[in-house]
Amino acid sequence: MACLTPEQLSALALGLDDGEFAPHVSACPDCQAKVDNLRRLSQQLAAVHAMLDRRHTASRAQLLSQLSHVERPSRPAATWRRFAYGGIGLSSAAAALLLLAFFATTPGNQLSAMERMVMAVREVTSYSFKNFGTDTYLDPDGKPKAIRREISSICWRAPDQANHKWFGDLHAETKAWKRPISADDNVAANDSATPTGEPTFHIAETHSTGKPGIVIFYTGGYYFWCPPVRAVEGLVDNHMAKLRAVQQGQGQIVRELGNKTIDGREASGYVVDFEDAVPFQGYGPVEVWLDPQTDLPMELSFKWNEHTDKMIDESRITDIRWNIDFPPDQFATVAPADLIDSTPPADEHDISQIVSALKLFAELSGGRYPRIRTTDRDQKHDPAFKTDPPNTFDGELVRSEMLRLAGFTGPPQSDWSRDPKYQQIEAATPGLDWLTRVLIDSYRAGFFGVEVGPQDKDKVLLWWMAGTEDDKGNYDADGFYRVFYGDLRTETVPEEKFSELVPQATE
Amino acid sequence: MEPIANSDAELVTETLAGDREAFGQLYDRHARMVRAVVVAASGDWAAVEDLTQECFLRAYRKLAELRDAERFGPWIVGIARNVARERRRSLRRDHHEFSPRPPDLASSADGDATAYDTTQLETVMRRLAELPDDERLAIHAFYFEEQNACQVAERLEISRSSFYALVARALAHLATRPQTVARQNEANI
Repeated sequence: MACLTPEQLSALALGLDDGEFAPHVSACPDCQAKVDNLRRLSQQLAAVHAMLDRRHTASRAQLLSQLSHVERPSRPAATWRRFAYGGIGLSSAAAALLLLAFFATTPGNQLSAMERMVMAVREVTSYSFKNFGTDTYLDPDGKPKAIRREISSICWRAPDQANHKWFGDLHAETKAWKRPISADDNVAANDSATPTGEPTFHIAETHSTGKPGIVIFYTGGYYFWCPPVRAVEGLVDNHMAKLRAVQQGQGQIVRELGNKTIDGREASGYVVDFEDAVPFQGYGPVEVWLDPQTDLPMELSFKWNEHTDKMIDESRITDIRWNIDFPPDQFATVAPADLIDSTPPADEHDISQIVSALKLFAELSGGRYPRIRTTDRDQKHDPAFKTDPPNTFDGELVRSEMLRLAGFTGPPQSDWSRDPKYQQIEAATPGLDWLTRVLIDSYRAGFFGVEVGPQDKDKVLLWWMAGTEDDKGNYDADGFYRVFYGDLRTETVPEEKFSELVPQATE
Repeated sequence: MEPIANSDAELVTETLAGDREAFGQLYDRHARMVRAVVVAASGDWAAVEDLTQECFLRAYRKLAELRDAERFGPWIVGIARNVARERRRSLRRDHHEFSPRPPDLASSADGDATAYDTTQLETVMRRLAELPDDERLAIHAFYFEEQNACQVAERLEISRSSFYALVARALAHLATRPQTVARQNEANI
């Protein structure tokens, strides 16, 4: 037997082998010496870790004593969090619905086939499909400089008649990989192979009929809950505008593509041109492949041409399955345990915690707020992008500043916890936590602590997008925004007013 | 008769009902893995106990938000990653240098530990800080959890075979530098 690899030697030294290496080592002085060395190293590591672990009991007692200064956790009242619905699922579902309506309205020389398809798609109660997207970014000379591959999986199930006001069940997941490319790369737009490595973008959302949905941004490390999606809200999405145009019969079959085999079945292809229909401006002709046996679409591809000088965007919807039974947990909404819940606060208790924290900071600082000005979202998440003043709201740092302002400096003292001012700062922690979560992890939020102070009654200090319903139940497709003014008054305003209050946020 | 161990879900429920000792039991069960995560991710040995406390305090404050109480373990590991990340960020901002130094062995009451060559151990710890993230976490988790590889694999939610391979690879990488140093020392002599 040849001498062992370093990994095999390590496994043996750690007792993680299954006994197969021991005979060789007992007969090989060189391997024996290496194993002995590894065992000594392992003992050293064990000793260091055991030393830290020896403080466990004292640390446990210290922790439990600190709990007496922390507000006892309790289950919050069940309130639906209101948040802007803006994930990828609806767009993709709309793309699938586009398939349905497309064939329901396309005129041309295949009319009888189209009529049969109209009948077929009207009976559809569920479907799933995959979308393969390729964005090719171009340099000023028009040469490819980067590529972004995107793979989406979408499942949708219609609501039953009793729930016809809801959008239905939806699960959508998108992963994307973006990388620079060289002239030597062979970029095939229709390449459906899954890229290797960790995705640079990964988002998933699930909506169960009539229940709050969840959007999970894996690459961002957070998730948020959103209100149930109503049927009418489907029409908010831009893709629905395309759907309407299709329903109005604006597309024309311009060419037959003949037949090809998809997944072992014969398919008939057509090219459809939407010409100057407004919702389709920027798109080229749509290529469609039909299953002549079922009269249902099997594949559809289209190309976004609006910014051809900067990017080529190609999509292929494929693996379409109609009227399928999903597993029972297909549309279950489960929060990932190890990600941050960044659902913006909506109930008065949470809002009051934020106000209290900012009010206390202003009192301690003599009339100002944390000198933080948030900038755009990408920069917030880029650790390499540093600004002065800071562009991220770090609740821990703000809390430290509050302690310093209140005179609690130097190493923590055991008697601090009895000081009322210290207790006030401790009580402000939940509000600071909210601010951190909202300002770092939410899609749309801002803080203007540099420009706005307590005296600025009409200027917005803090805002976030609150959803499509205000706190009185009014609905608006453009969404509502929660704003906090300099004097810490707060209200929910429609986008139109928000644009006036914070023009830079909507530019 | 051995008492029947409560599940994490039961301990979470009891904590929410006001039983702090139940939270203490959660601490007993998960503090070692939390230490492993914060040391591996922050690189700050000196603050490991403070950071672990911070993780559990945050968990306590937000315990009501935990929707699947049986998943307390993965949840607090996620919190630990965030706390460690913030610590790294804070250290960077304050222009601190990460110290790969282990705890002060000389101050320990453990006579056996002081017998080790602390210079060599510092070299090992420095090398440990240079390991890839997953290998570093594997080493810390393995030793904090008293070399119970099966338990660590379960808590990290990876297969046993994957964890065995990972920790063996990590130890092999760790061994490389000290051996080289030792050989150089021998040559100098």
